[in-house]
Amino acid sequence: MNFKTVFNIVGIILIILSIFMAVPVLVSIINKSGDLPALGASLLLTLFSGTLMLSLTKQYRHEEIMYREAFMIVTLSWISVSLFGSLPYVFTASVNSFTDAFFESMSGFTTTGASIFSDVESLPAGLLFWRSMTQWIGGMGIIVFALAILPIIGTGGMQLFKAEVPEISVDKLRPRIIDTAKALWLIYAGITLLIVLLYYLAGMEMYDAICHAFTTISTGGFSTKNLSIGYFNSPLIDYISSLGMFLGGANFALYFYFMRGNYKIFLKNAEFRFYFFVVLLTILIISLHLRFSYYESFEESFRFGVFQVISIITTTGYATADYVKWSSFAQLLLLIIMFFGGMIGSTAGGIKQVRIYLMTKQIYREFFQLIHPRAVLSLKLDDKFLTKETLGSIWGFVFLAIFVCALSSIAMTATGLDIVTSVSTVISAMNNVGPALGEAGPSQNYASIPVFGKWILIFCMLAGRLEYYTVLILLTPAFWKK
Amino acid sequence: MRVIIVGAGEVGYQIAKFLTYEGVDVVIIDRDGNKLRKVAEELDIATIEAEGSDPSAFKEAGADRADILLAVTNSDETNMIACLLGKAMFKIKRKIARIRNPDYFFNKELLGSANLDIDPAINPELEAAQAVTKLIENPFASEVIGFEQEKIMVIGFKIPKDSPVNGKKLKAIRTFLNRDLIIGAIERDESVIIPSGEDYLQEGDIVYIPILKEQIQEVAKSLGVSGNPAKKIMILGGGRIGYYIASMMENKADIKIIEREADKCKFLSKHLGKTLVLHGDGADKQLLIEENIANIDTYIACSGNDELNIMAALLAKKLGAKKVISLVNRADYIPLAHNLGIQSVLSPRLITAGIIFRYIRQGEVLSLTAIAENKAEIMEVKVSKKSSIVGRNLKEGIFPKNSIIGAIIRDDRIIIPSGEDIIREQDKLIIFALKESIKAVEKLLI
Repeated sequence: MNFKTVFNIVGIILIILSIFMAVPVLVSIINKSGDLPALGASLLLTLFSGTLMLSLTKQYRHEEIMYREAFMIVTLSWISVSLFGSLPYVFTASVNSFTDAFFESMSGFTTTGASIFSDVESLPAGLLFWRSMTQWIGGMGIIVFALAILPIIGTGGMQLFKAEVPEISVDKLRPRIIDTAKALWLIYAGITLLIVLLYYLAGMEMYDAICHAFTTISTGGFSTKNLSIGYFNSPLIDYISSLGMFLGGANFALYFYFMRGNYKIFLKNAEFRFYFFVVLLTILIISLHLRFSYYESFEESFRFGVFQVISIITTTGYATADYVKWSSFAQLLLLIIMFFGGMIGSTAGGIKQVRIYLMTKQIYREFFQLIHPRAVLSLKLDDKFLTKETLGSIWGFVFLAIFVCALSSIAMTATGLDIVTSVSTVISAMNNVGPALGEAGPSQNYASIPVFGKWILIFCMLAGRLEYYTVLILLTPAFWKK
Repeated sequence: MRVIIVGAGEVGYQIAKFLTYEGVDVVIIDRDGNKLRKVAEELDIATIEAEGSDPSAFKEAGADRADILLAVTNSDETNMIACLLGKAMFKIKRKIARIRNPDYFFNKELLGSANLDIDPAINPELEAAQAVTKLIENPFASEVIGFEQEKIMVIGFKIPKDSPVNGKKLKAIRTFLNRDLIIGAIERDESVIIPSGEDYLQEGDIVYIPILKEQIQEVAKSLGVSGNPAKKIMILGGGRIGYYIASMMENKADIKIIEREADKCKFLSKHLGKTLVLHGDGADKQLLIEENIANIDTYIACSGNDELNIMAALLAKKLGAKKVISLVNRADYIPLAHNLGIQSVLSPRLITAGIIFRYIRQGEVLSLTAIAENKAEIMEVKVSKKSSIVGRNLKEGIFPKNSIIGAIIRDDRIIIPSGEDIIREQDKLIIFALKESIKAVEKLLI
């Protein structure tokens, strides 16, 4: 392991982070919100630490990055970014402990949206803006951002890209990684702008519109209001938000091809069709169920059904209704679709639609084979044949997710929490959703979770965001063997 | 710029590697997914798994926006179809292909602009054979690189113990030899020095010197490296490379060629004149001794098998061959073979990649040739109008560190520069530079 290379790049990432921090500083100045010293100090400390790391490891810039370094760099970058990103919470003294600050920051960057604040509206404007912005940065990924602007990372960039963005989506949009990363961030920024505009036109204040657009497209779920999107109490905003989350849950490569003139790409892409179908089906089931078990009118059932299903399946975690009050059937269904998540190459968490799709397809094929033992069958995704290894790695991935879920849930119950809260907070954290069930439902928060439990959830959020392998591999002895 | 490469073998890989450093968009098409995965892991390129003659793969690769198509699969036919596709369906301007079969390669009509429009076709075996013959004609050289239609050559000499220049300061060598001579690079103990006048030469150094073609013999003599062109040559392997070497050299030297397959032997004896064709195992000690290996000037191992070539060359050297040359395709083996004591190691694939790269390079840098295991480069650069070096004296020392001008080519004249020369616009310069200085040189000149 070449630690100098690792710290060199982590240094670069921190410098980039400090530049992002300039934005809330500006917001603070404009709003005169009084958190300027804290935000300024965070910026300077981050910039200083990054520069120090860079200058101490300067001559190692052009070392090639191998597999080990890539995993280390990505994991360490996310931890450092969350660490330095938590400084504004610490310096404004808006949290009770460092654990809370780090939890909030990690929840932000991993676009989870689980919060320890019971009253966000009392937070100063600059800090609140930063809180939303962490989700926007984490949505597309800060490594991808670094790759988009810095050619110096060079060939090793591919390894980093793969460690941050899951494997099946590495279909590069452009031949070169820097162009691919640039295209992704431009599309991301473009859609964000569109959502800002829609929110603003629908009646939000500019500040709220920007903050919510940040957390909508990144499928993060932080809000500037205690009642989340529910505060606005406007069907129009609910539907705009649903659309934004749905867009964030789709593969960004599709937008790229769409803008290239391939207008049929959304119809042709098997995963997108599956994603659309799953969302539609769940909405229908939940809405109908709600009409007969909870709400009085179809209109209400549909509106809250659409919003809550999309918010959960895209792993955003906004709330317009306190679904903990809904029936157990609706709650369990929502909990299960947390695992589904969005599409591959999206900003959403979860197991991802394509994996669910392929597993379903394969199981069906197994049945078919039992009836026709001599049939020669092949599994295709968008005209591409899938090898046994690819399928094996999907099953491996899902098993790993379940394994992490089981182990973490057991650990959570050890802190004294009840089963529903333990299991649901773990599922919510590892799929980067945000609100869970039980004590951590959409109208509550995570403040009451014991410290040990918070650290388990921090681990789950990080592991889930980087799709398990990148983080867990650091825990294997083979990784450290020379 | 976008370049599409069909074939992810050694040649395709090497060229893609060069191009990505230049910031070119590269897409590689190959039917072997494993090969592609390996290439994509190491290089920043896009890959498509498909047959090299598949139109839809071309479309996916963005062939309509491509500037250059490079067809370098192992199959001539696939390469030609790929070029035809590129021409007919996507109007790709520049098409370069590897063509092995002489029946195609020398067929001007087939490859010409009216039909396939391949420019240029590269025959790796022919290129390798030409590189070998250059070494045979200059037996004192460990490396020979031609510039300007070979009017000027950069030659690598190994300094022997009894050389008159051994232990001398470079400054003193000029006066001692009484001629304009520039040593562009010295390879010593695995490192490379771009020397100044204050450096000394040592036994075992390999020095790279640009020399006019007609003066090569004189310079070699004055450096104390003996050398008449080889008169007795033995070739292991009667494949295309062996055949080309024999047919190019058989009027200048006695040639024995050893080939294991009877059919190939028949072909060789039919198509070659004076060459003695031997049917047998070229690494067979008894056969080598019987054929008087101790008297051979140059032994060339050019079978299709890298390992055999290296071992056979070592055997021949031990049995008394004065100089051994080995052809090695795997780039990883080359430094190894050097260390084992084989005087010259050539890689047909690297040679092919280098030649193709020269054709692809656009703009002011006309060529770039790696020497000394890639630690240094010889660049041929055209001085642009904007360069701040135009009109300046070389003495002023404005040239970047670790780089040196070895020759100036001005309207067909070749000047070996002294401190007094002034650089003009449109001069072509041959420059020696360490890898890390290349960017600075480009900045100064372009």
